[in-house]
Amino acid sequence: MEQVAPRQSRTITDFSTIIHRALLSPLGIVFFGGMNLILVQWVLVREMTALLLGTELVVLLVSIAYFAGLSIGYRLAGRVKRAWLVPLGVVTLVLHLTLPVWFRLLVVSLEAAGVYAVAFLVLPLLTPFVVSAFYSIFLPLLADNGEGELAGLYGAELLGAGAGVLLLVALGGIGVGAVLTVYSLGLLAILLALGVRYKAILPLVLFTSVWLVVLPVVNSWSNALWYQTLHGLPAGTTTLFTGYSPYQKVDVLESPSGSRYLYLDGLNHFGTYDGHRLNVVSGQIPATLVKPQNALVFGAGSMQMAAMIADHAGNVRTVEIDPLVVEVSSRYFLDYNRLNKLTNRSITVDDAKHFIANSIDRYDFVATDLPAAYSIQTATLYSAPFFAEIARHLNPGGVFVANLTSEFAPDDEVSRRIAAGLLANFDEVMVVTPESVGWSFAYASDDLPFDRTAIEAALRASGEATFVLYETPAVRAFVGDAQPITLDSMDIVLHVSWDWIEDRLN
Amino acid sequence: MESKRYRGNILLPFYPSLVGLLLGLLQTGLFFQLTFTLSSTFSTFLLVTLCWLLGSALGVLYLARLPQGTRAFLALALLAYGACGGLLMLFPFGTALWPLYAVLILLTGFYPGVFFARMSSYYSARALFFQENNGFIAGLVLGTLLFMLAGRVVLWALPLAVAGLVAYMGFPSEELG
Repeated sequence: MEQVAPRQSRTITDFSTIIHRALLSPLGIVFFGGMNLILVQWVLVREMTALLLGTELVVLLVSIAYFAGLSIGYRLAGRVKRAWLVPLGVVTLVLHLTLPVWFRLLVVSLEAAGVYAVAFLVLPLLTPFVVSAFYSIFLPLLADNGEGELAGLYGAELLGAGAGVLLLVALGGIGVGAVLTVYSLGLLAILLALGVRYKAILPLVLFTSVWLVVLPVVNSWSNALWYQTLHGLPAGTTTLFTGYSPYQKVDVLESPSGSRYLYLDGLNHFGTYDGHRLNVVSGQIPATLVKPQNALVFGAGSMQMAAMIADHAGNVRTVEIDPLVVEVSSRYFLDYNRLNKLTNRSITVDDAKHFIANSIDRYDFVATDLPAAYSIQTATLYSAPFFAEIARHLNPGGVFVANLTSEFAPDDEVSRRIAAGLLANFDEVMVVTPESVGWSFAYASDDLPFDRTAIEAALRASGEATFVLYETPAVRAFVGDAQPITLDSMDIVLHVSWDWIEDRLN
Repeated sequence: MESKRYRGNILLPFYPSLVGLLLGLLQTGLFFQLTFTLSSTFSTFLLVTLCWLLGSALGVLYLARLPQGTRAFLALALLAYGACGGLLMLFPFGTALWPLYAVLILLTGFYPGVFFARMSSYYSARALFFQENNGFIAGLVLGTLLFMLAGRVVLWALPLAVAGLVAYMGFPSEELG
């Protein structure tokens, strides 16, 4: 035993030395670089997409900015001196840890100066230099200086990127603080590998630790300030929750009067009067007329619509792709969705298209509580193939309620094309435009179980004094030659995305 | 242009950019097709990202040393991409096929790994990655915008056209013999 013990100790020491050397070698630098690129991309994409009010064009702009930064780093690799890397790394650590906050404050100051549009220029121009360029310097610098073979270095970077993705799976749900903690460790490891002494690292560790402790408070404050400035929420509004899901940035805010708001990627999803009326017109009213045994709602949001339907239904199932939205809704919108009281509700976390394609159930009533077609992914939920799947799963006399996302009019492309998709799959399509909401909804079925008179009466009973109602022949006339949205005609996303940005800028 | 050896073919200085364009189109195509007809969940993003990264890592670390020509890996990538699209059309939303899609994406990822490892003899690392990344950005933008304007045919036709051009240009070592 006495002879074995030192041998074991020696083995352990050697092993840790090997690991230590590997981590601090060029391979370690590019491994952590690959990992951190993935982690910072996660934060950047969600934050910047929300700040610029996430549409497909914004997502594309953010992606271009991020990858352009990599190109800049590759280009600079031949000109950056080795001695500059440590100061650059320190600056990067500070900028990236504080990125969500200073990006918001920058946009707030632009909006306060009346030049919000400049954010669409400034953020994409800043991003390449302050976000992604730093990490892409290493691989070409090390390879071209003969400090490693390109194949080995690139392999290590790819494995680091894979590790980054797995870390996001493990830590993404915990919050941005957890992601930034691991990110900091990765960058500190790079700084050590670049020759920074342990003593010099200590102030950085101290700064990082303090920042990560105060981050939740500063994060909430800057988030609320952004919503007050950009969305006109009342002064004193606080952030109840802010977080990144795999799909979007999810924010819940509360005004001093107790009103609660849900924002997804910076876009309002619940909390306004017209949002409440939307749930009444597309959920409560048709449900009172259909009295479905089996109802389905695509999209969660506050889940108020599902609760309104549940008051008149046997069972209501909500299908939502984002588990964070479900969690937030269950925690902060109980007054609206009454999940703690209603016993005929269930929630499934799944992609709507995947769910309906694989469902063996049939439904008497299907409604949607989805974002507009700002992105390609949400546009597929307004497409004719998706409507066809819903039609296939409706019982005879079953009703599908679709949000036309704008005011139905002969010159409105979006609502006409969504209605065209409905007409291609249902014999009857009735469209209503309530003044309280400002845009239109369609009731579609092969045999609508209610008529115009019943809808008009229900609308008036709900307090809707002014509305326009179109029956199927009028809807057909308005739609005219508009083509349904399909997977081969997503140009609508470009138009919606551009119009949305234009509206916000004007 | 920082290419070390090629001067003959006018397109050769753009070779890494063209490959980058192809890779951008392939990734965009895989992502769109899988999210449209398999599932839009985060799992699909993970499937594409992790399998592509792993395939590329295997390509750069091991497969590049094999005697097979780079065109063979390009053909394998296109076949795997095509098989992925074909299976999605035949079995939409068939999540039982997830493992098969994972393997097909892994196979697609071999090509970029082999490409980078073998091109390192002909380009400086900074020129290689700079040019490839610029092409990748172009592929990402073109793939997304043209898909929105012209539909799914873009996800098939563009990668095929660019791959044809890349194959026609050949690979430096093969061209020089």
